[in-house]
Amino acid sequence: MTAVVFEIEKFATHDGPGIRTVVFLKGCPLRCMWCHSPESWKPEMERYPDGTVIGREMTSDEVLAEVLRDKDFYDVSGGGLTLSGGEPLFRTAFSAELFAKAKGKGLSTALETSGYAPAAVIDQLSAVTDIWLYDIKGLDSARHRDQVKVDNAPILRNLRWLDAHGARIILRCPMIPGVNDFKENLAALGRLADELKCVERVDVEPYVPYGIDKARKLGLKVYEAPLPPMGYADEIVGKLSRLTGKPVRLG
Amino acid sequence: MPGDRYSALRAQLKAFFPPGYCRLECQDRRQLASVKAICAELDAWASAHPGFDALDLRRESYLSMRRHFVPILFTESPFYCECGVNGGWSGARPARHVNELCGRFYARDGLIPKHEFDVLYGRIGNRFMLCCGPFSDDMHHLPPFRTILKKGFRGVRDEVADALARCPAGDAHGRKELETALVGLDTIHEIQLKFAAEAKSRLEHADGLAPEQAHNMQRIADAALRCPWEPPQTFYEGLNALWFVREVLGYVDGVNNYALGRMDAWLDGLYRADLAAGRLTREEARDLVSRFLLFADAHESGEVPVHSGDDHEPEIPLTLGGCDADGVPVWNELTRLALDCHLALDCVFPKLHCRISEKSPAGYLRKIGELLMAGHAVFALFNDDRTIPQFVRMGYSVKDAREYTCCGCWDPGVDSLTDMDSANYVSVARILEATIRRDAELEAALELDLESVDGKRTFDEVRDALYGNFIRFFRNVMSRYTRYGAMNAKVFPHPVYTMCIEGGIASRRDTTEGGVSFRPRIVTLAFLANVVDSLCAIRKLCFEDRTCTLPQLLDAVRANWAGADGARLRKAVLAAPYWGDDSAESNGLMKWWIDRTADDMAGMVNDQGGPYVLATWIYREFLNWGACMKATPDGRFDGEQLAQGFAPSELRCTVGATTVLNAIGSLDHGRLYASNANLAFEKNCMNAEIFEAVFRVVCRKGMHLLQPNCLSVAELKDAQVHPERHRSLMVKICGFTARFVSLDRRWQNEIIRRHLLR
Ligand code: SF4
Repeated sequence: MTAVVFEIEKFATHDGPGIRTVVFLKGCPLRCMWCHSPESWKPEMERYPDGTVIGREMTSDEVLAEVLRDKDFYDVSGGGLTLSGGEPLFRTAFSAELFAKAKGKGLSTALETSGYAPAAVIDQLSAVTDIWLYDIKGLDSARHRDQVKVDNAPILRNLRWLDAHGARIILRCPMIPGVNDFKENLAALGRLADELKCVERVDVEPYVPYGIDKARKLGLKVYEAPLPPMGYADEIVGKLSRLTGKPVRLG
Repeated sequence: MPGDRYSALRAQLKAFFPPGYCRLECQDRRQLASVKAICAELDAWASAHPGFDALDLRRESYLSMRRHFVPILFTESPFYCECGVNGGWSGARPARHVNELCGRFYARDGLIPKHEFDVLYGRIGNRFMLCCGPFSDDMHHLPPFRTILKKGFRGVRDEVADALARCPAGDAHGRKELETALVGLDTIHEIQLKFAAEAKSRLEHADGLAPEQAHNMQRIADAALRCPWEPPQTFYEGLNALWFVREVLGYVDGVNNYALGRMDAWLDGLYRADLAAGRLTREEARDLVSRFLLFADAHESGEVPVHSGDDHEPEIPLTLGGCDADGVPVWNELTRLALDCHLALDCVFPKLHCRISEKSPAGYLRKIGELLMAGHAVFALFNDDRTIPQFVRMGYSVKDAREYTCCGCWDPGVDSLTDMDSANYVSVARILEATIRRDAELEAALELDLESVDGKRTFDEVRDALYGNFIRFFRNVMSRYTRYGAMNAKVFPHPVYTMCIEGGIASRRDTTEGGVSFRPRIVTLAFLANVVDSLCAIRKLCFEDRTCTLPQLLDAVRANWAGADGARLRKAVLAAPYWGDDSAESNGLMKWWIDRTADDMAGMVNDQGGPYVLATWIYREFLNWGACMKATPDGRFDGEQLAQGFAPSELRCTVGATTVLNAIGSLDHGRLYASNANLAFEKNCMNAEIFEAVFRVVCRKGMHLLQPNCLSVAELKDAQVHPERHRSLMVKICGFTARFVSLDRRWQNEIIRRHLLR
């Protein structure tokens, strides 16, 4: 089984427990207006205008071999493999196969996902996923449709299903100034975190404008949010901490 | 830190240790008068005794020191040890004067042809190597702490006296060594008693003394009557003994002692006994440890602008952690105290040499990580899992091996057993440079023929020719070390020091004659990463991709990559594999070079009859020698910096932490005695738990040593603009730590340019 991998990040220390390798797969059904990796939207390999190729077709064995190079680091830190994207659930079969093989080698598996997938996909992946890094971009469904271009109902449904089935969950909340950092959204996030018994923590992911140049080169467009002021992220962490009993930290 | 509880102590110490003290003579008037008197007596004695030998002069120096020694006490400190020399650079007077007088033997007795000094210390020597030991055996010694903690100097004296009584009549030389040592040991006793007398005298004129100061003097007046002539019986005496042994042997024998021992491992028993008996409270212990650390820190205030590195290096490393003789991890109250106080007092020194293992307690490793996160990069981390088995293989008992101490910047040894020398650097990159540019001067001076690589047809031929040049140079230098280093015994004997090291008393031979049991001489390969990178580039461009011919590439190097062709080739070079990228090519070449050198070195015997052992590290020379070296095929321009130890070249590395550590871990480190990887981690990616994991991986991979920095470029740049806000920010330069704001711009910029692992 193959998928197009557009980046492999080693020594990742913010994407799940311990030291991890994050494998980024191309392909995403969402269109977050602030997206930091628009080069991941198309599932196929593509090129920037200067000829630079985006992505590489890799088999799950090739990916696993690369990931296993850092096994010593996972062993001593409780780390492992994190699959991200794009949206890794978009490559269901590949993700499931890679995780099954990784678990066969004793690796911890973490899935960084928007949660936007059919219920059956969540069910399939839950068998081989140790920890879910679950993005919540916004809780107001109209705004969500507007800002992310998909409905958030399946996302929340899947999240509740995982919670009911005892999955380990860390909520990841991108905070985009002026877009989703308003009071009601934070309050709703706090309530959601408290309501779900399996949510271990909430990570606040501060806005980074990494997608703008890449989008421009690809003839795409992403929203350029105003750069957050100094202390913005800490302020959000502080606010959210007061709105939930779950630990909140900077992601 | 003005106004803190130790400001009075800091002020007293600062007044005594002037900025740059580590390389200066003591400025104290009484000390200077004392040194002058001793030197005058030795000069007079030398003139009156034209046939004297080095042991005669040592004996006279001991007697003269006994007459003129001036004890230096600080009323704010309970410690007595200051002899007016920095034990790490005790080449200072008066022992230095003995060495200088003895140095005349070289000429008087024709021990070493003059031109050999030119070769080994002169222009050629300085360009290709740094040799510290063979010609002036006064560097990187490990004080005999455990011997003195166990039996005191008196116990050593008793054994020497006993050996003298049993010395065969025919062994006049052995008898003289023992007799001289006895005089020296008695001098140490006299010195100790002078401290007691001085403290008593201060108390008798106690008008100006505050109660705490009088308490300090009373402690000294009592303790210095017996310890460390007798072994320490309290935690306080133990702490003092560590300092005393280091300083006094520097004073009497002129040996440079580059260690302060293992406070937590060796004094824990005394500490706990004191607590149990009610002789000591934890608060008092914290105060003692603080004053113990501040005494080291005062040797170099950290305020001196650092230009070269050795203007900032008092060589006072304290070893912490690891395990005890029974293999039990050492992570006790004293380890915590030392780490906490070092941070709280904002100490640059002592350097903290922490022994770690894959099985070290999490709390210990995380504590080190916490200090790093706080900007306190004062650590060299020694891997027990590599070092202990290595010492066992060298013939030490397991219990002794577990007691190893970290010395200098990165050299491990077992105190009271090992007499080593470790600052002999050989620049492999210079051989590469000389090979490319045909250095006729070097060839003539060393009677070497360098083989050219220009016409080679295969990569293996290039590699083998370069290695051939290197190993011929290496053997040539080693044979000179062995031949002329042996003369050292006739010039700089250390009788007292010898008697404190295992084998010295039994053999009745000075350590400089090979009289002690373990005497490795460490030879370090410098800038190997640049050579590996150069070879990788040659292979890729000239023999695989055929981007250019070898002569074309070498011409571009000789032209410092000038012109469009030079720039084009350099661009291709920078795309080739390099050391640290964990590729089969670079890992394989590094391994090949290390293994070949270790094979070729096996069986080489040093001037003291011990083995030559291999290491890779480099001190400040990665910048200073780089500045005077021409371009190399790894893409370096003329004058650019070189690589440090096993760290990848800063000019090449773009990969992350795991890749670099995997590359270093791919080697068989068992072929080396020691090595260093000075690696900088990006602060954003790190926390104490991640550091803990990195340390465990370093151990698992069998590396010898990690010197971690934890940096944020934004913070460093802000420190350049607002130094007053970042006074506590410490960085590890090479073997030494400095306050970032005390570095000169050249060094600051070098730190800022470092590739941060993430
Ligand atoms: S931010 Fe992530 S989920 Fe959103 S569009 Fe970009 S890749 Fe897809």
